[in-house]
Amino acid sequence: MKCSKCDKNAVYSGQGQSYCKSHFLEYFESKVTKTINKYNLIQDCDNVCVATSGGKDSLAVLYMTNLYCKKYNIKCFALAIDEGIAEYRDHTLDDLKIFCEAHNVKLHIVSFKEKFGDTLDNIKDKAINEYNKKPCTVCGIFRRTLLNRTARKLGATKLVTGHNLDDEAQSFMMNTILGNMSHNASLGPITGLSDNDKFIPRVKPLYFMLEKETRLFALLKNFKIEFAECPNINMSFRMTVRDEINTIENKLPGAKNGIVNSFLEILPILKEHYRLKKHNKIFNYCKVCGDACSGEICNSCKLEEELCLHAKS
Amino acid sequence: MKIYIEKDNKFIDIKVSKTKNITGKQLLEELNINPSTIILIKNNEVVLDDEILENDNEIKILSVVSGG
Repeated sequence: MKCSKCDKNAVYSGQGQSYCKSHFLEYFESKVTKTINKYNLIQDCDNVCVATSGGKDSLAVLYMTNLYCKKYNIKCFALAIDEGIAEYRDHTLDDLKIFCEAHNVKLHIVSFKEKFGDTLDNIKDKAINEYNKKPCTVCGIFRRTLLNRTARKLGATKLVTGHNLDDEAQSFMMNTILGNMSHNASLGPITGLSDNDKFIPRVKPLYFMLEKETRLFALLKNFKIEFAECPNINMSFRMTVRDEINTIENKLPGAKNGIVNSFLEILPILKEHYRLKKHNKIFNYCKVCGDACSGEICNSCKLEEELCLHAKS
Repeated sequence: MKIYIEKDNKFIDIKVSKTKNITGKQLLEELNINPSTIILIKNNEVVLDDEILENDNEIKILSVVSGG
């Protein structure tokens, strides 16, 4: 198949268009930039922190964010969390260090071991066997907390994440299947704006990019990425939902776009509904760490207590 | 035809009849791999799944799924 814009061979085909290498890169960069501008994800006064792991999504979003920030002279740095997952995170962090050096991006790395007292590898057996908690639950709560706390300490005003269209479609379907509709009100291209100054707003420049497009972008840009799948993913519900959505997408191309666009139509209603519901609730700060939370102690501190971990800072 | 499947980190060898062409799409069907989850590489070039594949081609099937 030929490129829709020139006579070169196509490397990508989707949504009725085919692109050669150079037109695909142009399409990708243009679509990400449009997303940033349309949803006002990054502003001139921002100090942008890019949450990154060294995988394809985070390298692509780091590259695009850095490009955008350099163009408009906006401050930008990268932040990685080392959860302590042997034979996985150590590899992606090595790729990340090489990338940041080559692109002149300041990189900060903080670890579970350093901040929560132990690695995920050591924590997970206890979490599964004694507390019936999946490693992804533990990892998710600690990662979110550490990203927010560290970004705030480093003076960030926006936290960029590499979430793509596939991630968003999966999250929406997972929350819907589990009956957690209120969690869907916290999705979208930009979140955490109205909460309070303890939360750094999170933004997703790759929001409308398919996972396949992101991988192809990273490949064509020659980013050094080794295929690495988290050893814990088999235990996650996300993997089941991911596989089902991919099966539907194969039979009905455009299904992922359909899910996310339908979600965006109802997002304002969800936000309004759950904002009204929360209206009479008293807003609390965690008694242990001081972060904002709905109860007396935040989820992260509760988890640390349950798992008998000892945070060092 | 030598095929590298990245997700499983393994090489497989498939013989294709000289008189009967096989497309990327047919190969993926044969291997039970969903095309929306991979990128197909033929002789170090990214190709679409309508590409004709031959015995002396080196094929890579790269996974696009998240690390988790």
